[in-house]
Amino acid sequence: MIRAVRGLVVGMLTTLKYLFRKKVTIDYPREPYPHAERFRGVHELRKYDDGLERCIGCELCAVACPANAITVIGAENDPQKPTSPGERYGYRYEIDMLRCIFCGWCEEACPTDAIVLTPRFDIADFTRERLVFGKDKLLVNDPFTQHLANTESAFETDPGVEGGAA
Amino acid sequence: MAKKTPARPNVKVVIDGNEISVPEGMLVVDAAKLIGTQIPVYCSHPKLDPAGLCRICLVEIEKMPKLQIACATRVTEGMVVHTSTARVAEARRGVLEFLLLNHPLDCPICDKGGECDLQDYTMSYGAGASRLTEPKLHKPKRVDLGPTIVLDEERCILCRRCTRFDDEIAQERNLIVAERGHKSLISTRDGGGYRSYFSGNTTEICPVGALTSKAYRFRSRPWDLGRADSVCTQCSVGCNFRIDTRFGHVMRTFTRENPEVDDGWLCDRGRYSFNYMYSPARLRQPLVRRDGEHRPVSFDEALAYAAQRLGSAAAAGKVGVIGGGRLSDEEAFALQKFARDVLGTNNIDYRTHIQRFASPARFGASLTDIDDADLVLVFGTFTPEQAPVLDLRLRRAVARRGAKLMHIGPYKPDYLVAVQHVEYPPGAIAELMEQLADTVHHGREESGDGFVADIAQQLVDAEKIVAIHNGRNVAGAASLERLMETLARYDHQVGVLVVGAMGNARGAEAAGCVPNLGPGYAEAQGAPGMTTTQMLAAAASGELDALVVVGANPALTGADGTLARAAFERVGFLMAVDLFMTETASHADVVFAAASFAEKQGHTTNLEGRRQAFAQAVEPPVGVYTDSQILASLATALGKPNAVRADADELFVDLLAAEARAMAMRAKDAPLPRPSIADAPSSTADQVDATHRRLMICPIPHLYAGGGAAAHDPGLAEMRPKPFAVFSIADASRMGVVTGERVRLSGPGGTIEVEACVGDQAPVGVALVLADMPEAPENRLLEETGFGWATVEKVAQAREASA
Ligand code: SF4
Ligand code: SF4
Ligand code: SF4
Ligand code: SF4
Ligand code: FES
Repeated sequence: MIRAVRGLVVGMLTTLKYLFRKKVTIDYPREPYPHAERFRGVHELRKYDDGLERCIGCELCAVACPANAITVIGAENDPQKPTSPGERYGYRYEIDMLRCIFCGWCEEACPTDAIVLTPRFDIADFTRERLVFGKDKLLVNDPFTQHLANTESAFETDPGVEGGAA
Repeated sequence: MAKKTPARPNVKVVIDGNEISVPEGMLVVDAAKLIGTQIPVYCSHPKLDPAGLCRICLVEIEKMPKLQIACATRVTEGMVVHTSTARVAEARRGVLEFLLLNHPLDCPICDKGGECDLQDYTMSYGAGASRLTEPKLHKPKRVDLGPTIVLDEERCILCRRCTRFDDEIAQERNLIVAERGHKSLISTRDGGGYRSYFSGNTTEICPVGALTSKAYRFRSRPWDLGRADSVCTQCSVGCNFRIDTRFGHVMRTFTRENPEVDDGWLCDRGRYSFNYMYSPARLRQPLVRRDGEHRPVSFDEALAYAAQRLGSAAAAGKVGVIGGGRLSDEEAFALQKFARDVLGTNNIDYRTHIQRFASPARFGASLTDIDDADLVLVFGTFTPEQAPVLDLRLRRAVARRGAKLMHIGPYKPDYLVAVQHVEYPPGAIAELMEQLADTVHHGREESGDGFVADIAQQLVDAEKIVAIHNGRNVAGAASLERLMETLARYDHQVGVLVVGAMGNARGAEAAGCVPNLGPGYAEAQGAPGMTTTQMLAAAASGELDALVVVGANPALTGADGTLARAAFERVGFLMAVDLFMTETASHADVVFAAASFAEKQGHTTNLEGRRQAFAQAVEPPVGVYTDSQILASLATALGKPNAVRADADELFVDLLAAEARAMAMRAKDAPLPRPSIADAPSSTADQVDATHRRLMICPIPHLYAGGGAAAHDPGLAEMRPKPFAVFSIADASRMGVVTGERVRLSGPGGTIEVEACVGDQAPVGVALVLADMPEAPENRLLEETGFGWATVEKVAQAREASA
């Protein structure tokens, strides 16, 4: 009997103690969720300052992806109206967000820094189809909202100076 | 029948400590391969002569002060080779550094990336980082080399495999290296496009991504591709290839080397013919003609309608089946079973071209026999257009080994290599062969005719003789066999190849798609049926109520187009199974949409009689079935559910069993029986009209002609010829026609309009007209013999006359 009362009192005291502490729950979504600095969330596909897409459709992200979440189909640029610098661009680019494990390997593999993971994570939806993100959802349309400041065209940099392979 | 070459003595060499014994004179790089040591190579290619250009293959050979190139050094007795010493490694690093100096960092977008020797060797032997501090040299990146190929000059490492292929293998000598030093670039000799029937091979042998094919550019990366081992069915050579697919779409085809068939090469028709499968013009569901118009219907509805009409025609015994040469062996077997067991008729024939048989009755040769033949005798066919990869062997035999090529026919074909042309009327080949046989047998004194004795002498001088023809002239073939027999008796090696008019002509013949023969060339039960010509004539005169045409287009390819068109217009019920709305299908009451070769599995038999399996690469579009599925469903609808099987494997088992039965019945070594032929109406086509009012029409084949897949393939569009006719200079000047002018040719079956071309291939009085073009079907002018007569007028003139 005594024990039971003691348990109750200790429990209530703990509750009382936490009642006046700063709350850990946040008023999501009105309040932003504080994530770690290098949190890996939803991807975005970046552009250069001149509006050309960075993605060249090389599929290296797709091979790097351990979850097989990325599908890329490349195509040839129209020389008059190029989509990306160089000859090839990502004609179709899709990431299945339900498969993605947000490991960031795609970002690592990308030779042009086109695909990057952002801190955004709130992508709940009602159908699977809508969680396969295509270029419409991934592409950053305004180049100035990009998180990375590094925006020079890789193709205009001389690869020799950068010291590439061999 | 292989010719003996004196064996070279073996020598002992030591490679990396392993002693092996190899024939003297073998290249070090090949000897190393035998013990599993891979020496890196760029310019060296097993099918090309050693060139020693790139130096990546440097190895250390004891007693030689400097490193040697393994690709051009031949082994000698006691040679000691080291392939992985520090000196070798340093040399490789140096060579790679040179190759990469101005090489762009294109790997992510390069079509070769993932299967590139430069990537692989740089990974294995390269330095890892560049020491270059100056900017790289830039060169043009998107150079249009021709209708099929784009060149990236920056990526080229100047190994010259492409130019050497064009020179040594294709013998065309159009690709060259222009300029010098670091400005060197691949170009054509005349500065024009690289137009070759074999251009695609250069993209495969290019060790880097400098030559890319337009059909495949940026469409996929090698690691994405699903692979299916297949066989090209565009012509009767039957080259082996791999179909590479992605997301259920065919992306490209790639050689699957078979030294006995294709020797690792493909022609562009075979390589690039696959986009027709995705053509919007492709039939994707059955059509039934109602009130003169084709309406799409469900498969079951089409089936029920076809079964009802065929059933009544079959009951009356008035039905015929045409086709088989474009089907697989299994399906050809299913088709003849459908005709014989379901429709109860022997009226089944695959022959929808001028070809009358596809299997040489005796002395069948193999393709490799061309390689060591001393004399190749060709008549009736033009191998560069009709059997391109066979022609590569021919070119090599003639140009590199000095074999003689003799062509007998009415006009001088444009062979690339030296050819001895014997102008001879096609109808008289049999007499010529008889005379030759007699002369060979009795010696040349007995022959009165000078040139016959001359040819006979050449035959007698040749140790090995291969004859190639088109299986048209039955009497000629019989006489040819007599000639071959005579030669064989005098210890000559002889062989005969018959170039099929369709990819699987020989397979269809062997599977029993002929009126008098069942599977395995066994005598068919019951009275022989009608041949294609007889069926068409019977349909045109109302004696047949129904025709079934499967994978064939006799209206365009048949020798007598007028008869075919009349037949299809008159016949009560015409059923067609095809991929496209061909001219034949457009007359049909029911059209079934068929699956293409990439969409099914089976076997196909090439012109040597070699049966090769091909695997299914992709699924057919929804609602499209294979020919055997269509035939099996139709058999069921006709109340014979078990007569024809739908499954290719089951059909193949049945076919093998039927062939084994036929084989057991036939005497060993007995000549293969011939398919029955219709008596051709006698023709005057062999004589030139002395008044020159009319010209003799002689159809000439073209690799990219045809009314089905070739006409609807966007990949081939640029290579497709425009209908033309070649006139001799004498005829052209008499008619006042110049090259490039439009002329109208009128014959008994109608009129066609073509572009005139003046050249010396055409003999006087003969017009060579491009065959099998749906825009200008030359068979309107032809008779059953495959030749015809037409009057020629200039288009402008004709307009004035009609105005
Ligand atoms: S984050 Fe990882 S799992 Fe997700 S797409 Fe990129 S590579 Fe694939
Ligand atoms: S995102 Fe980067 S790695 Fe992926 S296809 Fe585009 S360029 Fe290549
Ligand atoms: S284009 Fe290719 S095959 Fe031709 S020389 Fe250059 S690297 Fe060699
Ligand atoms: S030669 Fe004939 S079989 Fe070979 S690739 Fe060309 S079309 Fe196909
Ligand atoms: S492979 Fe030997 S020199 Fe090129």
